[in-house]
Amino acid sequence: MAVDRGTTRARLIVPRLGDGLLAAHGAARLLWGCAAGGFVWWVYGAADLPHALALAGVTVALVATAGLAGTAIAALSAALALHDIDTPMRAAAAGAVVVASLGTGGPAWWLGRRCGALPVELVCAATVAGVVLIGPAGGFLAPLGVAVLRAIGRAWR
Amino acid sequence: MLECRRSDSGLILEVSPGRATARWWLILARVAAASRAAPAGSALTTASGGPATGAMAAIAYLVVLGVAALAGGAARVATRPTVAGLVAVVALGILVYCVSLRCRAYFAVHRVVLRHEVSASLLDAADRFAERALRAWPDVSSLLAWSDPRPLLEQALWDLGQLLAALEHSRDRLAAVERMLQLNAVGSKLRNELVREQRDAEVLLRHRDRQVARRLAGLRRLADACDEFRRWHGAGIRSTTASPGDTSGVEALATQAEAVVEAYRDLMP
Repeated sequence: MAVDRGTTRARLIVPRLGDGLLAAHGAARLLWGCAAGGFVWWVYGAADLPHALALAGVTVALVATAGLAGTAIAALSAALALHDIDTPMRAAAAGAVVVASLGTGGPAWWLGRRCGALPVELVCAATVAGVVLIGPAGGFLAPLGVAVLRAIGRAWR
Repeated sequence: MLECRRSDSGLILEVSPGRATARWWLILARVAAASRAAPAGSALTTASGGPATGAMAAIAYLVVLGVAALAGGAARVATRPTVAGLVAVVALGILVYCVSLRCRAYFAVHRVVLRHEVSASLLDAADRFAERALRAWPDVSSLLAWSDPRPLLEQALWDLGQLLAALEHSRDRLAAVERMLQLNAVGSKLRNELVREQRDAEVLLRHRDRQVARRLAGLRRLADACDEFRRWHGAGIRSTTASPGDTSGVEALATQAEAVVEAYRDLMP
């Protein structure tokens, strides 16, 4: 069924792509991106840096899709986007992205492994509710909240 | 389309729903679906998931997250409560629609669960026969002018999956009856009933066993006939170009074509 005997193999019974590691891996990546992006948003907001939300969003997307390479690109993007501040502050902003990504990677993957794949509708509903109730932070925290609840639920069973 | 996946209960064979919207939503939902299925290390599933393909699922999650955040943000920044309420209602409506679509898609999927490893390996063998036939089909179709054999082969594999599930059920039933008889903890009347039940179960098991064997043999015969046909087709073309008067190659080819037709017809319901 799914044994690759060659690239031209015509498959009749195909393995379902959404199962197992693939979906769980995607959820872990999303959690990593959201955690790193949320951290970036919080630090930039505290430091009163401009474009905090946009840069946090870019961090979420890049870290979730490209991992460490995405972290490097996000850090570079932050340094380039914050051109109207002094150089040490730009370096610190870029460093914050790297620290956020590296710091949240371990816990996010740990949580991702325990919670498995996340139901997409639940993530959607939690995000809408989170953003409406507490603003941008809700967008970053909603997937993490769903993941924590799911991990607790799975441990409970 | 036939799909397989591993779960705690065994190998699950599924046919996707025919309705396009339900099927596509099911595919999207599956990418990010709650699933406890674990990829197996055996021959049956290896391609499902891995770090190399993981970005797909993350992107699906990100798209959903982005759309949801935009909807939430629109509701939050709206100055008038009417607009915020409208956005919230639309978002909720879309969500409910998606959930209902997912439920319908899950209900529309036909599913067979194979709990025994032997059944899974038999299905794998049948799949390999079908694939051999499919690989040889371009040569076969050039002479027989038949269309795509996929629907027939998929139907044959699905039927085999159902037969294997029924065979497992019969085997479990027989084992349960035999266990009860060995325990010897029932009265004589019930014992007679159990003996009758055992006999029935044995007959049914043999019948289903034959059905599975016949279906497997049919797929094997088609695969062999297609392979032979391809071999003779190539040899026939070469011999007719080498000596145009020689008709033995053409006759052999016709015999092989007949064999393919016969094997193909055997698989038809």
